[in-house]
Amino acid sequence: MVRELLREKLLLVLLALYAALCVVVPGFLESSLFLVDYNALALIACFLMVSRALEVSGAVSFAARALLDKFRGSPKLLLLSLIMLCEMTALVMMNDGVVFVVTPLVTVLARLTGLDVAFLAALVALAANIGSSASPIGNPQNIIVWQHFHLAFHVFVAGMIPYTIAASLILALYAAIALRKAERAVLAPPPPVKVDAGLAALSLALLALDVALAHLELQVVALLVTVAAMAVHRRDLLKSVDVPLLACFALMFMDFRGLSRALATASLIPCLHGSLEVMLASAALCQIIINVPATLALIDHVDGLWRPLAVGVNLGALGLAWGSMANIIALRLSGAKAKEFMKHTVPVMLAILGAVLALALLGIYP
Amino acid sequence: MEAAGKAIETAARALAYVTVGPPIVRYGPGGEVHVDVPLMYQGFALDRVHFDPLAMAPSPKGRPVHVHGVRVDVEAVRRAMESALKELRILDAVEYREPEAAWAVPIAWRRFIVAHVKVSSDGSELIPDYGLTEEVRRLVS
Repeated sequence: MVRELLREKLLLVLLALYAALCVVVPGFLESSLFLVDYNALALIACFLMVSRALEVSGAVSFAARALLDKFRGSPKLLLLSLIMLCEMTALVMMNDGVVFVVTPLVTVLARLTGLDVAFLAALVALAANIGSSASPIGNPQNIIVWQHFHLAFHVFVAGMIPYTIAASLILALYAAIALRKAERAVLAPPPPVKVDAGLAALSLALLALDVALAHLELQVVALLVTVAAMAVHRRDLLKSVDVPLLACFALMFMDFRGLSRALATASLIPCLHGSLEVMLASAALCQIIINVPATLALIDHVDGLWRPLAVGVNLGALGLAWGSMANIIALRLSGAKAKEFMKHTVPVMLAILGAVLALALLGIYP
Repeated sequence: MEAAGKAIETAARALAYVTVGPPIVRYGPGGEVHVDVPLMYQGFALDRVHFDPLAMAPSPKGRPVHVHGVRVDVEAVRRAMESALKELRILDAVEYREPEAAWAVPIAWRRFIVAHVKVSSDGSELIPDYGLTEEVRRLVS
């Protein structure tokens, strides 16, 4: 176990940062444990497990196959429908899980249709990231914002949906233009993977139950119920709980909230007041320290402006190859080059940024 | 007999949709290197192919290669496997695995059987290797 933990480079970096903060910031060691939002951490663990169960159930794979069967004569329609599937699925499942299921399929489509694999992998990652932005449970940074600001589920969704719709439209337009020359090809339908309908149903039930328990501020109960249900139905899935990843999240809370508070005390970072300021700062910070650390570094300094923060960190995750876990998985599974991948993700991110900036300057959103 | 034929046909149809997953490189305590390459299908790993990093080619199933003092270029392994993928073929015979209630359909590369695809007993559905899928999931995350 210790050896496994030490293999995790990110964990080692976060531990080193923690040690450095203990030395440099007075009182950090004593206060660091109070910087972790244990409710958010419990929910991240919950939804990672439920999302994984949904992924393993084969339900998403089944849906992707159904689309392939329906649109196998038109790669363009097939890819546009797969983008929609990624966006819709990322509302209830963590975005990286969606990418893990759909990327191998588009890699094959690239091979069979002659389309660029980096382009298709970028579309999948963008769609999963954009879809997940509307949901409090779509990605870890949303769970953190949702819990930190004690938002009702529907309030979060209502606040983020304009961004998600605008971003989805831009992505669909980009894909439609890029795919206009896609040649027609008739693809043989692939055979199905075994679907565990019981596991899919259990996952969806747990999803609803966990959201309800979170609403009642019973996050730890949600975690216990999820673990118990998994232990009864599919014990092997408990082994898939990524303990080093959860340790990384706990350390991120301590490191980045601690660091930003220390910098604020030394007047080295200002409290951000305007919506535009918060959105741009969070999107920019994601380009340096990726989305979850960026969320945690800014969360105490945005004067309650959760929506611009959530928009900024979701937007910031889209462009660079290392901007989100979904991007990294899409790259590693497809074998595409990061440079080629970013030729598609960066222009889409800039277009969405332009649209959101226009809305912000008009004082409409976020 | 009918189900066996159906299982072979299912595996053959799946082969067109199989992709090469990220190579799994393991370094032993004595410095020996072992490379496996997962065969992926719609977000699931079907089986692993043992890869010989000296010959830069797949090794027969049941004969994992352990070599010393070799620096593995993961991208080169991936490219070699993608090239080998085009030569993979499904053999026209199966074995049945009672504990898993599944047909194991062999996949061959040149003269070697390099992997198996497991298909449900009625021959209609693919059964992934969930343990290997988890390993790949960890590797790419």
